[in-house]
Amino acid sequence: MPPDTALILGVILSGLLMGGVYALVSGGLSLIWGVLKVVNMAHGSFLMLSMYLVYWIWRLTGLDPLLTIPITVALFFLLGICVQKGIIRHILEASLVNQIFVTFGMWMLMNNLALMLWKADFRTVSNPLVSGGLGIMGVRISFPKLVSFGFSILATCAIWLFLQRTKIGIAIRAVAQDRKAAWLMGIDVDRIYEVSFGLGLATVGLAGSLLANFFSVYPYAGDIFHIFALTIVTLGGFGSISGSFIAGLIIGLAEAVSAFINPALKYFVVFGIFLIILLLKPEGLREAL
Amino acid sequence: MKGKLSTIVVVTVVLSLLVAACAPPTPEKVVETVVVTKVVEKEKPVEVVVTPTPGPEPEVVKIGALYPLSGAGAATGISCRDGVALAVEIINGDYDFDLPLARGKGLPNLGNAQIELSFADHAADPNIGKEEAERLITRENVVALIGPYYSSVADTASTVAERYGIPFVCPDAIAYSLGERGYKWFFRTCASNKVYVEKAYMEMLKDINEKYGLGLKTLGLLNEETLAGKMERDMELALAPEYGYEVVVDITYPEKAPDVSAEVAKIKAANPDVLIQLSYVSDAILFHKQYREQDWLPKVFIVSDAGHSDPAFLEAVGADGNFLLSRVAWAADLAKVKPMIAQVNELFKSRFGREFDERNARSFTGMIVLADAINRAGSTQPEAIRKALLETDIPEKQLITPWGVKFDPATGENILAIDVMAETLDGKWVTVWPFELAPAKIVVPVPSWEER
Repeated sequence: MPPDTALILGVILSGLLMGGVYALVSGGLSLIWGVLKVVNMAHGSFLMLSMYLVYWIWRLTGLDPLLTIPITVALFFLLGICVQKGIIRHILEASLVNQIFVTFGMWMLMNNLALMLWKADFRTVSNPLVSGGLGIMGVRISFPKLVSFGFSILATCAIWLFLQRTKIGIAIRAVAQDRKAAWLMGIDVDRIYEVSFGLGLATVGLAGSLLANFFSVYPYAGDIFHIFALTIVTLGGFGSISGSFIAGLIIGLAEAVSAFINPALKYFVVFGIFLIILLLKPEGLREAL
Repeated sequence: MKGKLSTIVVVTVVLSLLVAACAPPTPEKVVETVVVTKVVEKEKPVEVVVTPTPGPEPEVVKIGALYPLSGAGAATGISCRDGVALAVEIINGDYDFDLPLARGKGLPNLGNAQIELSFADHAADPNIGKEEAERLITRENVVALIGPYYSSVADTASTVAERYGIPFVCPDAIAYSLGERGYKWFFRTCASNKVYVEKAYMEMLKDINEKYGLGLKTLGLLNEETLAGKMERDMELALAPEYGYEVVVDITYPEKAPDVSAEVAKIKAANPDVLIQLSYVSDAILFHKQYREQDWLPKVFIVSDAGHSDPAFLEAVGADGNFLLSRVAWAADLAKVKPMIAQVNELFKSRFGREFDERNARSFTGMIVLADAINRAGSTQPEAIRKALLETDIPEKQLITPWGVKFDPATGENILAIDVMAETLDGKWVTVWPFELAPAKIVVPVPSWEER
C-alpha cells in the first residue's frame, strides 16, 4: 500500500475506534434520557470517578484496568441505583430547568470533590496489559483503542439484546414510551428507573476501565467526553442506543479527518455537525427505544 | 412538540456546558466577581487607588499571588504556588542560605515586617485572571502581584496592575509580546520565548549539526492554541529560515483534546528532522503515547518545557519519555555547581513531600526578587517598589537559578535571563547544552522505538 493511503486509512480507522469509545459513554446518557427524561449533566463526572476507581485499584493492588471491568460495572450499577433513589427520584416531576440545575450541581460537586481529595495531578496507569500499536500493511492501529472498540460493540449489543429480549428490558421500553400507561399495566416504574439509571452508569464504569488504559486521570478528565456525549446523543436521537453508536462513529470520524486536514478545525467541524443536525433533523438519526 | 422541546433543552444544555467548559469557577466566585465590579463602578478608580497610609512601618506586607489552582492547569499552578510559599517562608524566617533576605527575619528595612500572601485562582482563564487581579488590588490591598504562569492570563492581569499602578512580577509566563507592551509596572524574571527560541533552540541545533553532522534540515512545529503556543510559533516561523530550516509541518491544536491521533499522523506524514512541541501536561502525555502507537520519532525532539517538565509527564510515559530536549530555566543537577540548590530542595521536600522542579524554582526566584525590591524600597508605596525593581541587580550566585536578575527599564524584561537545554536521560532532566556547562553528554539522534 502506498504510504499516503496507509496513513489516511490509519486516520480513518483511528477516528472510528475513538468513536466507539465516545459511543459507549453516550449510550448511558442516551438510555437515562430515553427512560427518565432527565439530562444527566453529571455524566462526565461519573466517568471521571470510574477512572479514578480504576486508577486506585491498579495503584493499590496492581490489577490491570481491563481486569477491573467486572468491579467497575457492578459498582457503578449499584451507584446508579443509589443516585436514582437518593437524588434523581425527587426531581422527576420538577421542571426541566430544575432538573438540569440539580445534575449540574452534582457535576460541579463531584469535580471539586475530586480536586479536593486527589488534587489536580495527572495520574496515568503505566504499563497496562494492552499498550502501543500494531502495523498491518503500513496502517498503524492503536491497540488500546482497538480493545476499547471491541468492548464498546459488545456492550452496545448486550444492552440492545437486554432491552429487546428480556422482560425487564421490555418494561424499560414500555416506561420510556409512556410512563403512565406502563404504570397502569402494573409495571413498577420506580424500579425500572433504578435499573435504567444503574445501567446508564454501568456503561460509564466500563468506559472508565477502558479509558484508563490510555487516558490520564484528573478531576476534569470526564468533561470533554461529556460534551462529546451530548452532541452524540442529540445526533443519534435521544434514547436510542443504536443511534448513539452510529453517531459516536460519525463524530469520531469527523474529529479525526478534520484534525488531519487542519487540527485547529476539529471542534468547529464536530460542533458544526451538531448545529446542522439540530436545525435540520432535531429528532436525531434514530428513533428512541 | 417533543422535538422542539428537546431542541430547547439541548441548546440550553450545550450553551451552559460550553460556558462551563471555558470557565469552571465555583458559584461563590461568580457572586464575588459581581460585588467587585460594583465596588469598582462606585469608586471609579482614579490613577492610584491603593495608597498605603504613611506613618508607622507595616508589620505585614501583603502580596497577591495569581495561579491556576483549579481546572486542567491546577497541578502546575499548585506547584508554582508552593515555590512562592517556600520563598516567603525563607524570607519571613531565619535561614542560613546565600539568598537575599534569608538570614534574619522578615524585611529588615521595614522593621522586620513579615510577608503575607493572598492567593487567587485564575483557573487558566484570562477573564478570571483579570477579575482576581482587580480583587486582590482593590479589596485585599496587596502592594504587588506575582504570577500567573499562563501567558494569556499574564496579559490581562498585568493590564489591571498597570491601570492601578501596582508592580507585577511575572516569574513564569513566556510569551514575548508581554514585554513589548511598554508597560511601566510589568517585570519578568524568566526568559521570554523570543530569547530562548533563538538563544537556546536554534543555537543548540546549530551546535548539534556541527558536532554530530546530523544534517538537520526540516522543522516540524506543534503548538497548543493559547498565547504561549502562538508566540512560540511566531518566533519559530521567523527564525527557521534565518537558520536555514524549512518548516514542513506546522500544527496548532486545541488544548485538552480527547484524541490526537490525526495530528500525529499529519506530523508523521511530513516526517520533519526536528520536532519542536509546546504542550500542557495532559496533551503532552496523549501525544507521547501516540508517537509510540504510530511508531514515529524525529531525529531531534525539542519540547518547550511547559507540560513536559511536569513530573506527571515522565511518571505517565516512563522510559518512553527519554531523549527529549527541553529548555529549562533551572535543573536539579545544577546542585553540583551550587550547593544551595540542594539545601533549598531539602527544605521544599520537608514541606511539600516532593522534589523541587523548574516551575517552583522560577516562582520561588520571582518571589525572592520581589521581596528584595520591597525591602530595598523600604516602603510599601508602589512607586518606591517600582523604583527598587528597576534598580535590581542580583548576581546569579545569590539565586538558585543559572541566571541573575537585572531589568531592562524599557520592557521590564530580565536582561540576564537565559535558558539552558536539558535532556531526559534515564528518567531525569540532565543539563546537556551549552556543551561547556553541561555535566552530561547529549544523546542525539533520538533512538527509534525499536532500538530502545
